[in-house]
Parts: sequence; structure tokens; C-alpha cells
Amino acid sequence: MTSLRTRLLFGAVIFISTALLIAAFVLTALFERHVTDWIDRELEGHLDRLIANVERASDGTLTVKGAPDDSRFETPLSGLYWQVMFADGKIERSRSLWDVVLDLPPEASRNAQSHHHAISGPHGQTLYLIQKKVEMPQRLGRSEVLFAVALDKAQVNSAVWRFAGALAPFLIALGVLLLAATWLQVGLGLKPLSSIRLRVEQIRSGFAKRLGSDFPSEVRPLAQEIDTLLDGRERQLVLAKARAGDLAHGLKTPLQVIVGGIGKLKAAGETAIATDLEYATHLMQRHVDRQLIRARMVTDGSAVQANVGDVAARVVRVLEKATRQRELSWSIDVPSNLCARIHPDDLSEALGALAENAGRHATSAVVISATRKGQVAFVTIYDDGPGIPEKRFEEMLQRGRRLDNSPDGTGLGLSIAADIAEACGGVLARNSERMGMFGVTLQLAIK
Amino acid sequence: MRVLVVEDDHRIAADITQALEVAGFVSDIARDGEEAWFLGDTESYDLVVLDLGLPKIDGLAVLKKWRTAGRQFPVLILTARGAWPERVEGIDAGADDYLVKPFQMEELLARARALVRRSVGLASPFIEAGDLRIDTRLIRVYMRGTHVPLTPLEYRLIAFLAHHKGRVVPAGELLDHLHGEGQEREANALEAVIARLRKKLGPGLIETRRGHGYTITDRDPQ
Repeated sequence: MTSLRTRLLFGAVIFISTALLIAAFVLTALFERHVTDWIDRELEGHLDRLIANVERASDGTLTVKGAPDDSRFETPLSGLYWQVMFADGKIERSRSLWDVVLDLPPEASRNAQSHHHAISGPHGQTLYLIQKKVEMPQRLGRSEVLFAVALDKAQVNSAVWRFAGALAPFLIALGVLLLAATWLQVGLGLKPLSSIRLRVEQIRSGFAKRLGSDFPSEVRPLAQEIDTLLDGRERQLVLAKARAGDLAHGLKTPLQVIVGGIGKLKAAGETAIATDLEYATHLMQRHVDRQLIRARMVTDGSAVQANVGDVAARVVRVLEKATRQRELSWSIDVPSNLCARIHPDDLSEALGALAENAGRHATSAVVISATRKGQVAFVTIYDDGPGIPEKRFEEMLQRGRRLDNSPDGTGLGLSIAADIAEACGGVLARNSERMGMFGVTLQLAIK
Repeated sequence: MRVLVVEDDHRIAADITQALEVAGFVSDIARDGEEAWFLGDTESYDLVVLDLGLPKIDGLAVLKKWRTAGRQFPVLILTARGAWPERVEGIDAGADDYLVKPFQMEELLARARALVRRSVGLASPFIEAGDLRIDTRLIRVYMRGTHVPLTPLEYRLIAFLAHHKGRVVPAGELLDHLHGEGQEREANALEAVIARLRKKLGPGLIETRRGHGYTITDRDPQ
């Protein structure tokens, strides 16, 4: 059981059911006791009236003159009975007993205390019996008389069951209410965890930077720990970027010295060595460039977005100024509010690499255009150069990835853009022709 | 043509200045940002080659200070990092072009020549004035189609005047752009170079405007 909510709800169901069952038993038992007490008092009353009604008959024997005032004593097998056994063995009974004589248990003690018994009665009834042995007063001859009043136990049980039956719906309703309250409480209790999950998702998708501190005190330390972790990660990223920059400077300056040396070797006629060294430095330079761009990649799924039009304008501004691209016509056809889920620095690296390639091969014009289809931005760089056939596009991409020594660096530019696109969850693809221009498209997720 | 090379690595600086001198430029070297700022602010240059990673003051800060102070010479920035945001920042700070290290000297020279041409509004690497034709890529001067061998100083002088064709260039400005920092700049020496050029290229090409300076125009020297 991995879900906290399921665990809590399961626990609550068990606890609430047990509590309600115990409550049902206790309440029923209390009710039964209460009913029994009430019946005891009633039967004792009947018993007292029977004792009080004993008189001497005209034949000198004792008799009960007048039954207690309850119609059930007159109704046959009504469930309420009385029976009196005189010392001479004469037995008087209520009409309700009809032709049945109760087999009263022997009563040894003779005192004012009545005793309870369970005996079998007419028609298989189990009777709840109260009996008392009383020594009659002087005027009635001081004889011992056994008085008994009984009630059908089924009537008591039926009252208890009726009570239990009436109680059950209330207890079930209470249980449902308690479970609903628990479900609500668990939901409320777990809500901060859901908000943390949502906030983490927002951080991952670039809508938020940190979790923040607007959480209940129990969850706040967790949020703070995660934020501290994110801070640390960001610091490491900044440090790694700085190190990558330093590495670039550290490697490229000696590379420049080697390139200078190669020039001198060429001038001195050592062309064979110069060519070998030139190849080696070129390869080194490409490795350094590729790895540096990968190390510099900023997009990591955190809070980033880039306005495609702004970045395209910046890239074109640079390339327009760069001498070799000055004669070209550069144009941008990008909706002003189109934002992609990529860091602006990464987008400028990818667009820059592709636009530089386009500028290198274009005859007169380069167009950077972008459209939005659903949740994807299609950023295409068109040029009116010779274009790249579909098969060759893949080949160049692979060559760029393998860092083969292609003379113009096109493969490297494509592979750099493809790496960046992949890191941002996008794709680099060769685009179809548009008005005689060939394009390469970056497909990026929309912010 | 006078170039300021701002580069803290002495081997790279030496390679660049050597290549520039062979290409007909005279160059000064600044090793740090402070020196670069001072030279750029006080001397006249036709081009600045500026490395961004400099001691004391960062190359980008130096460039911004020059532009704020109204210094308009073309600037070619050299960057080791080569990141696009850095290139954008460089261009936005007032650079005219960029080169990512390591670069070939031929590439640097091509860009240097193009920047100098652009700064005076010329598009082609060939500059013509009457019968004179200068091939800035090959550093060769032709008169009526015939190659005329010139010394580096003579080439720099005629190339500077040709770049500023139609404008009277004062002798002081000419001297500033022909010699590097610390080199002697005597008006008499300038006269001597002009005289030699007139002898090699014909007497009518370089006109002297007394009290103002020198000029060459498209007008037929005849």
C-alpha cells in the first residue's frame, strides 16, 4: 500500500468501524439493562400488590383477592403471568397462564428480597421470573407463601432488538459521516504535499523558480530543503558554466598560438607538417567548440522561456554586421509573442549556428520564420543556397556529431543545433522547400 | 593604415601585428584594458583589433568607454568563448565584427581590410583613382594597369589617401596614420615619401593643397 491517502483512509475505516461496533454493543447492552431495571420495578410492583391482596377466604384458606391491575394478566398466554403457591400446596395463577402451572424453582430463603430466575413457560416461552417467599402476618396464620411474577423473555429481547434495529441506521449514518470527514481531513492534510508536487512540476516546466515558504509549518522545512537543493544546483551550474568559459579561454589561446605557428611553418615551406598540424588543431577546435556549447547549455527543464522573435533579431543583428554576411538580405518573419521553452542563450546558440550556416551557403537571402502549431513552435531558417538533400542532411548531422573534418563546419553547426534542441525536448529537422529556399527547422515546445 | 591591436598574449599579438604589417598596416600593441583605453582615446586609428579577455579592464568595457567618448573607429573583437550571447553583447556594445579564436590570419586580414573600407564607405577591395588602382588584398598598386613596386611606407600613404579619395588629408593626420606609436613623425620625411610616390606614380596624382594637406581624386592626373 504505497499511497499515503489509501493508508490513512484504510486505517480510518478500520478504526471507525470498530468504534461504531463497540458503540452499538455498549448502547444495546445499556438499553437492555435499562429495560431490565424497568421490568424489575414493574414486576416488583405486581409482586407487592399480589402479597397485599392475600386474604383469608370463607373456608379459612388463604387466597389472592383481586389480581394486579394489568389486562395482560387476564389475556391468555399474553407473556405476563403470576402464580402464588400457598403453604398447603394450593396454587393460584393468573388467567393468562391458562392451563399451565409454572414450575417454580424452590425458594429456600425467606426474606424481603426477591430473586430472579429464568424458567420455561407456556408454549416454549422462556420466562423472566421474580419470586419471593413471604411469611404471612399473624392474622393470616404466619404461613409461608411463594409469590412469583414472570414476563416472557422474548418481549424483553424483542424490545432490545427493536432498539438495536432503530440504532443501526443512525450508527451507519454516523460512520458514513465520520468517513466523509476523515476523507476530507486526509485531503486537507495531504493538500500541502500535492501543492509541493504541483510547485515542483511548475519548476520543472518553467513556471516557477522555487517552492517558496507559503506552506504549513509541518511541510515548510521540506520545501525549504528542496529550495536549498535547487539553490545549490543553480550555484553548481553557474560554476560549471564559468569553468567552461575559463576552459575555453585556457584552450583557445594556446590553440591560436599553434595556428600562428602553423602560418609560420607554411611561410617557411614546411607545408606537410603545417597541413598535419592544421588538421589536428582544426579537430581540437571542433571538439572544444562542441563540448563548450554542451557545457554552456542552460536549459535544464527549469524556469526558462525565450521570445523567438527577440532572439532571432539579436542573431541577425550580429550576422548583418559580420563582414561575410553583409551582402545578404536578412529577414525575420516571427510572431511577436511567440515564446519557446528554452533558455534565450541556448536559443541564440542554436539559431546562431543555423543562421551562420545559412549565411555561409545563401546566395542572396536568409529568412528566419516561425509558426506555432498546437504546443510546438516551428522555427525555420531558410536560405536561397543550393540546399541539402534529405539523405545528406542526416549524413551531415552524423558527421557533425562524429566531429569529422568537414571543411565548412556545416555539420558541426547542425549537430550543435540538434544537441540544443534535444536538450530542450525538441527536434531539428530538414524542412521542405519554400519559394525556392531550403530550410532547417527547430521544433521547440511552447512555454 | 594604423591599427591598434589589443591582446594580452604577446605571441598572438606579435603574430597579428606581423600579419598586419605584411598586409600594409602599421600597428600598435596594447597589453591590457587600461593601456588600450588610453591609446584608443588619444591616438588616431583606422581599426582596432580588440581581444575581450583583458587584464585590468575587460575588452567589452573598454569598447563601451570608447563609444561613449565618441570614438568611431571600426572595432574587430576577438573572443575565445565564442558564445552567441557574448557576440550579441559585443555587437551591441559597438563592435563592427567578431572573430572566434582560433582564427586564421588570412581571415583576420580579410575582415580588417573590409572594416577599414566600410568605415570610409568603400565596398570593393579594389580602390581606383584615375589611372591608379590599388588591390588591397594583394597589397599591390597599378598605374595604367602596370604594377608599381612600393615600400611599405609608400603603400600605406597612397592607400590611406586612396581610402579618403576626394578629401584633403592634413599632414598631421597622414603622419598619425602612417606611423606607429613612438615612431618619428617628421613633416620633412612625409614630403620625401610624397616626392618618391610622385616619381613612381606620376607627378599629378597626389595634389598638395598648401596649408591644408594632400589629396588624390578621380580626376585624370594629365
